[in-house]
Amino acid sequence: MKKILAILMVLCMMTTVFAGGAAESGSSDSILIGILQDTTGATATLGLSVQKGVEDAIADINAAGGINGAEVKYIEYDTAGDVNTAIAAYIRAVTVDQVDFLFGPPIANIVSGLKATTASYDIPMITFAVDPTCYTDNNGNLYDYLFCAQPSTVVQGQIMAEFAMKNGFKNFGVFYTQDNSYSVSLLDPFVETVRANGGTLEDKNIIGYNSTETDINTLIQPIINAGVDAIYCPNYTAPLVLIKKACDSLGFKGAIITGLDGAPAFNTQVGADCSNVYYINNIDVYEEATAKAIEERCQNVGAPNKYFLGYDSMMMAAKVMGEVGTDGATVAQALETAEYTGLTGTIQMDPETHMPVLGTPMFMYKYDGTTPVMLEQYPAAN
Amino acid sequence: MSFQILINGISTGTVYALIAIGFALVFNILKFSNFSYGATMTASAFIAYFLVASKGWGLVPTLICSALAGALISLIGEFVGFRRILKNHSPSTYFFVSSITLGSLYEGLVTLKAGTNFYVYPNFFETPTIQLFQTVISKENIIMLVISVAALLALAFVIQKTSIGRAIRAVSFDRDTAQLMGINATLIIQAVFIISGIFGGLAGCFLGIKYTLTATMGSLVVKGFIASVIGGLGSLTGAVIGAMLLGIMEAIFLSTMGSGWATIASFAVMLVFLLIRPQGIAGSNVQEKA
Repeated sequence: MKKILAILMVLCMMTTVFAGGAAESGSSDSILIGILQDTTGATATLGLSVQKGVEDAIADINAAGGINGAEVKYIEYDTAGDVNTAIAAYIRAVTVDQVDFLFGPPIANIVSGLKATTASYDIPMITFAVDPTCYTDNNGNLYDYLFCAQPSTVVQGQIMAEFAMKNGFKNFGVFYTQDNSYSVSLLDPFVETVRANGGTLEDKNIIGYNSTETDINTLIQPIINAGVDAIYCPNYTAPLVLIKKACDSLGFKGAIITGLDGAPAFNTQVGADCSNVYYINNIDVYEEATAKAIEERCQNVGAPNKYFLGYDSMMMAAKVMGEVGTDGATVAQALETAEYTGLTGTIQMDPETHMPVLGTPMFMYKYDGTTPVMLEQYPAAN
Repeated sequence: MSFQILINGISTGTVYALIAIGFALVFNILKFSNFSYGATMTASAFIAYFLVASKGWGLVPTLICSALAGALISLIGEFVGFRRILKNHSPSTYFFVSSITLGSLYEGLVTLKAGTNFYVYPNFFETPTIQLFQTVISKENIIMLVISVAALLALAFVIQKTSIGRAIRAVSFDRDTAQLMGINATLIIQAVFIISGIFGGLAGCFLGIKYTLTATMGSLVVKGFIASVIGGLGSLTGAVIGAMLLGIMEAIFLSTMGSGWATIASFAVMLVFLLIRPQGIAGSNVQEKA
């Protein structure tokens, strides 16, 4: 028995010693970045794309001499698409590994669960969740260390509505995921903009559903039966594929307007004609520099727009740290008014929202078959 | 209720029926709920996706591959997970633990290979729907219905009219006595697992076609379990009726109450039903091991 206890104690000690062994640590001549992304789970495509963007930016920064001569190192953490895992990984990053800066998850549900924890540690984090409530507490107060580098759902919802009205759609239905923060946050801006511009969107044609539901045909049928011109579907890619299949199987001939998740690889996952699908994106894939960057850097990237956002966010963070150093509070303060021009256009942060100001470019697309066609830039290019 | 909703309900019920039958078959013989069945469905559907569908070989080869994979996985499961427990006449809890463990193992293996992303079967038809009066019917749903009905009829024929079917019924009724009568019970149990696996493979493939392929889609086995409880645990006919009722009931609730309430209503109706008729529709009185 004593032998067994002795062996167990040795094993425990070894585990304790080696458990933290893999971690990098920041030092005076290096800056440590934590990349906390959904690299497994349903949204892994998004997380892996952001991660690759940040990694490539770090490689480019180091190739150019680092940040004020300091080498940039990074550690990757996986949220597994789960809030509790994300919180545990975040706490490890800021307490055990002592990172100087973090890049947080790509989706709102995870960031919403994580946001309160960030208030206890003075480490700035840029996430990619576009729901504005991810950055505020229940009283609407901003979390000091949380930021987002792409336009909010409010802006995106308004753009999609304006675009739809401008392109001749008058009568709408909405089919959204009611237990998903991202989807819910895209609802009101679209509905209000459509109604404000004289479009028809009856309450009975706004249908929310739980993400666990599988019988999309039955759920969406009332909207199709109402004879709408377009159905607005601000959902993640996996449910969007089901919605597209349901619309096709019910013979819907109108348009489907989606958020960012309608961008490729949605078209390949549907594997059929997507000509009635419109979506919003952060990048113009046909713009010369962007197209070149996609060709050179995004061969194995599932969501190029997330790659570009990850890349630009890291570059913006590097610019800020280059100017003010790596003290968390100082960096967070400087980020509030940071401005950076990169692959996704000019990102100018708004201190009132911790998100980019109005005017950060977004692009509306549709598919021709399965090929994306860029239709319009918002705001209009000069 | 519109005809379209009825069609949607039948379409869902058809897949539930395939799940429920595979579930009920094993329960009928071994008197335990095989919770590895969901993961068997998932693994079979993924095997068919990677080996056949993704290479553009069409619906029938995909279904055949999935059914064969299901049979093989189920047979391996019987050997690895249940054979010794059966022979040792181990306590019923062992079956439960073993089936849960097997299911987790299969799911883990699928996740290892496929990751946790979702996959989509290619479209098997150029024109996916046909219009029948005011109702639009998906060709995939029609094929699902036809194949499911054919499979169920074939199973009914095997069970009722063939010597192996008689042996299955005998082992189901009393395994020890069947063995005394010269029936090789181990062989019959293997046959049942193979048939159950074929149904699991078909159900998994249909689920993948109807929805998307994910490593956790086997959780839909719960619907098959509910259907077989409604139908009367262990009864094959009851399982089919229960599955159809569940599919149609869900479609009606979804269209009238919307998402969220529909799930609550479905479970509430099931609880009331079990209070009134705990033995299920078919009135089967099989005691479960675990």
